[in-house]
Amino acid sequence: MMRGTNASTPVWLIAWTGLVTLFIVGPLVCVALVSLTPLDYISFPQHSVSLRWYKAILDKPELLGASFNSLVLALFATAGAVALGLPAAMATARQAYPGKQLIIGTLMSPLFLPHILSALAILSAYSAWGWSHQPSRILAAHIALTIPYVLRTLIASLSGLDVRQELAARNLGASHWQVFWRIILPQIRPGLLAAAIFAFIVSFDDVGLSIFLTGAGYSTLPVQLFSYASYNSDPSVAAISVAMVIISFIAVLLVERYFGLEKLIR
Amino acid sequence: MPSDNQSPEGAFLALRSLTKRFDGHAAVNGISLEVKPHEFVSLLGPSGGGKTTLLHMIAGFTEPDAGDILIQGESVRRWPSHRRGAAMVFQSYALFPHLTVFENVAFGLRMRKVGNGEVRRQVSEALEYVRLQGLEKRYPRQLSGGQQQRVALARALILKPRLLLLDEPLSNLDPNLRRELRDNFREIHNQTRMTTLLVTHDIEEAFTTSDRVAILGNGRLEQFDTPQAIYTRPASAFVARFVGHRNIVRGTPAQKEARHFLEIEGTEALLETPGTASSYVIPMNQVRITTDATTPRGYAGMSGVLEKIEYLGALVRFQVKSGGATLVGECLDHQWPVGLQPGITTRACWPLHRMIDLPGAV
Repeated sequence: MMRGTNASTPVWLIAWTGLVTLFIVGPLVCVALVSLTPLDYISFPQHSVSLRWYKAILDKPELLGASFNSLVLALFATAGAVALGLPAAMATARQAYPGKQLIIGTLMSPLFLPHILSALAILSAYSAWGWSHQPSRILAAHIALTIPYVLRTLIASLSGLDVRQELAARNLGASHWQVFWRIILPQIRPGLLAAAIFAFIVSFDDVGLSIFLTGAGYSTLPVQLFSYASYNSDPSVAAISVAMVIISFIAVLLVERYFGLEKLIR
Repeated sequence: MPSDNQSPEGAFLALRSLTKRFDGHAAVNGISLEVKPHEFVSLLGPSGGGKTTLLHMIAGFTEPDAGDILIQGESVRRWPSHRRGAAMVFQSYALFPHLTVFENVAFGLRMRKVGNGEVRRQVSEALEYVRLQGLEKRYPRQLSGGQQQRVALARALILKPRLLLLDEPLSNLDPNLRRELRDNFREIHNQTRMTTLLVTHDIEEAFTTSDRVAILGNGRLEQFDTPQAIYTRPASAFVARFVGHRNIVRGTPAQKEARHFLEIEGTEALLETPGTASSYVIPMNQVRITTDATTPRGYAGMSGVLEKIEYLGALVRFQVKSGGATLVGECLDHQWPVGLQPGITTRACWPLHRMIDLPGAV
């Protein structure tokens, strides 16, 4: 927990911190301001503010549909990545098995490979298999995309556990399943939550991979936004961006409220 | 295992040629050992000696590659950990940090699906036994090291095990607390008479708590005997060194004009009867230091430079160096000859009949 700056904090550090903060928050503020302009083009509001560009979002059914798709996709991708990543992380953090480095390297590879490369490989694999159902195609790709984040967070979380706790529980009569539910799971819950949030955000935000896998029938919000912004330059793009930030923020707040992020991470 | 001819039926715990290899290296190499009912036994040895692996095999965490484990005459080798009735207290305790003291202690009962009322009754009894009443709602991190250890003990004892296994339970504590908790173990043992196995690398801990001590080195059982027997009759140079003997010398018999001598590190000691070639331990407290040139009858002696004097409080420890050999001696502070300073030439001597013959070591 950070305690207030103490008297000896050097001035240059304060200045540097301010600059970095400005660098991160500044563009957001600009976008937020632009979204409130009453004018027809991208500009800062001068004399008055208006919510007309937020209202304009509601008039674009393709964006609303894509938002729904993105939300559902991100939820399922998160569930899939956690369901597959948790067992992999447990095996990796707690024991040695043949080919461990290779398997982990493979699972982590979406992190290092350029998205365009992954996308082309996935696309050609899909067409070779004749897999054409768009939502499930993109879901599978997103699970692969988000697994590295889940894996990394959970391995870190699990390696903090003392293996002797598991031995102690077994010595007291717990089955492997009970060891998992009563000893391991309660202790990695913060890590699990962080992993799920990472996975959700990565999936919800992705353009690079999704742009190759979406099409006429099915699209996601970032892809729609990207193509809309490529051809239009009205402030509704800014309004949608702000809406997305607000949605993410609400998600984090809800998690904080119902799971107590702060308390769990302690 | 030298003299112990107990029948397997009489042994509470019997290990039969137990072996465990990790990556081709034998961590435990054919260890056989029998523990009597109500006995307090320490497994003592340097780290990497195989003592924790041995304990884990008895507890059922590690499957032996060969050999058998019998508890009360019954082979438990294939039994799961909790059915063996061998409760474990771990190094650093392995308490469940997300559970309260109450739930930590209750864990074993919960696994047995004991009813709530009964759980409450037994847990409060166990906490009373380890003097932790009133701390039920605390979490392990809110307790001191000593309290945590008592929670671990209560958690282990609540299932009324027939065998208590302690895996270096004191190694994370400061020396004063160690002494206190060590006495605590012995006290609990005196009350419960529960057969207990303590793994430790601390000689004092093993010697003060245990009826018998098993010395393990390199996966083998070096000696299994009472602390006194181990100290006064070490079975090997390894044991001698490990329990703190520092003078291990070669003795070679010699004969001149029908008189028998024993040559030790370049000096000759007169013997009444022919000597044997062997390695010997000269106990530190048997070494006397003098400035006389003669050696009393029945003693061996060597001249050398007094190299070092260490004041240890009740004891004074000194080193005499003669040629390639260094002899370490200890005497009580008030017996230390006044005026001896490092650098002077002195004579160290010791009674021949106090030398310990090391069997096997040549």
